Amino acid sequence: MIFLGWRSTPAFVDPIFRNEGFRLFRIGSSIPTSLQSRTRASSAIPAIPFQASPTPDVIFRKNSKRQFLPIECKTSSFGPLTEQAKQAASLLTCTGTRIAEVLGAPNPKTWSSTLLYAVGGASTIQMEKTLSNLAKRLGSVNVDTTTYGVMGIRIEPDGVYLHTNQSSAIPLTALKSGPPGIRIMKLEKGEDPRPLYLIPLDSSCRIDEDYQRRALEERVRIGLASLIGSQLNRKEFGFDVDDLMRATIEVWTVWGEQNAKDFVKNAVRNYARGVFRYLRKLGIFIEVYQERITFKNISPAIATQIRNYLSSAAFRRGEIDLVSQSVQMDFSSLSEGW
Amino acid sequence: MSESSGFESREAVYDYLDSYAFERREEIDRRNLATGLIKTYVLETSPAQDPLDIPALLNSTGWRNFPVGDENIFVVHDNEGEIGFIEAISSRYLMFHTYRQTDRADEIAKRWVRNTTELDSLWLAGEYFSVLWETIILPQMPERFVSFKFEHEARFEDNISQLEESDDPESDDWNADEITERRASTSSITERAQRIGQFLPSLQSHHPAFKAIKMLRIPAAARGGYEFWSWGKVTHRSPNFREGREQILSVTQLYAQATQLIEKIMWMQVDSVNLKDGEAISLRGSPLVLEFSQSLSSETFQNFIAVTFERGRGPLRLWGNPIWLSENKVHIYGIDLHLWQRIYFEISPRRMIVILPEGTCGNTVHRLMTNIQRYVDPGVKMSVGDVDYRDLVRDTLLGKTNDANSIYADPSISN
Repeated sequence: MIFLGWRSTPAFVDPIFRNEGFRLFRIGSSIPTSLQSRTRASSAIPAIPFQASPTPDVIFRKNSKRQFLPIECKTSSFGPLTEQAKQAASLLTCTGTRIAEVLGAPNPKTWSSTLLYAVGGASTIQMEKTLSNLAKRLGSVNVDTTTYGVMGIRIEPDGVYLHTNQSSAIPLTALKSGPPGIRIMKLEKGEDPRPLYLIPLDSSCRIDEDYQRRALEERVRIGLASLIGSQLNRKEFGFDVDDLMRATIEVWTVWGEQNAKDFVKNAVRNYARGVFRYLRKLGIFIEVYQERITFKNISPAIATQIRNYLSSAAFRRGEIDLVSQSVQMDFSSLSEGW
Repeated sequence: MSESSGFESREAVYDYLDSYAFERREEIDRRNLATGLIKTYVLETSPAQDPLDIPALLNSTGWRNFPVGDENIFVVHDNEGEIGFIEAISSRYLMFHTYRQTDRADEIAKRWVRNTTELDSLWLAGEYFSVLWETIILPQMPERFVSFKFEHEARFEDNISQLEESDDPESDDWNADEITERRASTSSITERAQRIGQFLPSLQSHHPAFKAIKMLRIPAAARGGYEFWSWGKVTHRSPNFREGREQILSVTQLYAQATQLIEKIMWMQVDSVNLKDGEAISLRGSPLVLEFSQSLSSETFQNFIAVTFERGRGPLRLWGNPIWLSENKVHIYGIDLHLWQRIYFEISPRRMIVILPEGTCGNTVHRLMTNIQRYVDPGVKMSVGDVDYRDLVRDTLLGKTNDANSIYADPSISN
């Protein structure tokens, strides 16, 4: 989704959102719902499932038309009585005015919004039925809802296609055709459609798939190598553990739940600890005090050895375990610390 | 007695080099080049330093340096004596002037860059040279003699599976001259500019290797010229050092402006905003897209990934652990070994997508273009976001990037 709002050439991705004036506005921002909406939803019989503060995956914005486009991506559709329906019902109450008020856009009453669910191409009809069901039920208890639409994502042999129904309320002209829709990325035969993960973890810091795990591992590896390798010209340098986390996940500082972040941080510390153990053998002095890591005693010869190691096959093949419970230990009591 | 530079001011250094250049020209005319021509190597630091700390950058060399006045210009010596002069020309760029013989001078400069993680060369890609040629030389100097050198070497078409993976950086068979049997094109042209302008486009359309420009000689005002090489070296083949320095300064300033614009467009940056209930974020940036003129063969593609990333060898000096999504698509969250900065790749036989995290030097883009044209595909097309690289350089040269109505003036240029 992010690439659809960035400047790009169609040789990679056709940025249809950007082409129609939409810009990426927010990632993972929650939109608190009103007390009235929550109360009325719970007063329905049966109660309409509801979340106090739903978080769409991304929100696009078109300033010239004062339009928001909150987007939630799902691998498949879901029914109106499922757990996922809570978020959907809540998002349906997030009108343009509501979003503008919460996120601080000027003149909130002048803003409109269309909620967009992006699902697999075969799930669009069912998804529309679910949203329609929820919207009707919310309307029946006097809860204002926003316009909404469903965008299907189809992976065809020659590319990735997006489509909506022609009568859809989604304010994107390029999408207004039935299947197969508009090709936003060309694929060669047998090509995997997944693009680079700009954000390797969702805000819960959950690792759901093998590629995601690998991407995060490699980011940890090169984050550490970059922080060390780029400063070896100095006799002494240092960085904080949070610097390492930011070198791994650019959105780290503002990302995710604290417990989940601590989990990932401990795993990264454990990996770094193993690397430091090897670097010490090369003659460098590494001191760790609280969250600060300092490297000392760096001569040109040692710097060369360390750079050679950090670009070696041995370093490249070094295992990084980010998921096992066994690595989630507190190292503060260990005599060797780091 | 303490040693000093022997020069009182920057002006004194330029006077000395002007005299030196004049004497060399007379020697060339007499076909008697007893000592080397002046070579200037333009280098870039990352991050920028204000002021540029030249002595600190020399830590890895062992050279002795002597300041000339207080103008951030130094005379440098090694064990063999005086090497030349190093001057800061901005907070990010410096010039290294030397008159050592070419092979020795090149070796000195390359070793200095290789051993200093804050330093990189200026990288002038074929497309960059083409803008200088089409926009400056051809229209303004049609009657002057101009020289081009072209070089393309299909290095990754070799069967490199025989090469063992080694952690010993000295066992770099990649650079060995013994590997010669591969598709390569090396040509030179010296002719009047107007004449070259008539046949070069046709040459390039029939044989794309003529797009991989390795050297372009820009004529001097009077006689001779200045040979700009793809890796930031300039050979002064003119009796006027100051004029050459001015040309180098102009090319470097254009390069600097283009690099800054590339960073502005491309850098993946997190924007965070404080709200009542916490922080909200957005993510800005744009990809670099290199589209190969023809899909790489499977062997070339596999070799390119193996040599460049898995072994960290070869001319691109990149490193990373490839994640194979399929046999014809790979993701690499990697490092640029010039400056040890992070850089992310998606590579297939058809194209290369590059993401620059914030802080990674935009110089990387110029370097990629230079080396991809030279060693992989001379006909590659590169876009910075949605702007063609060549157009970006040309628009920068013509001052169009400052135009309030241009695509570069989009207030959310990366968003």
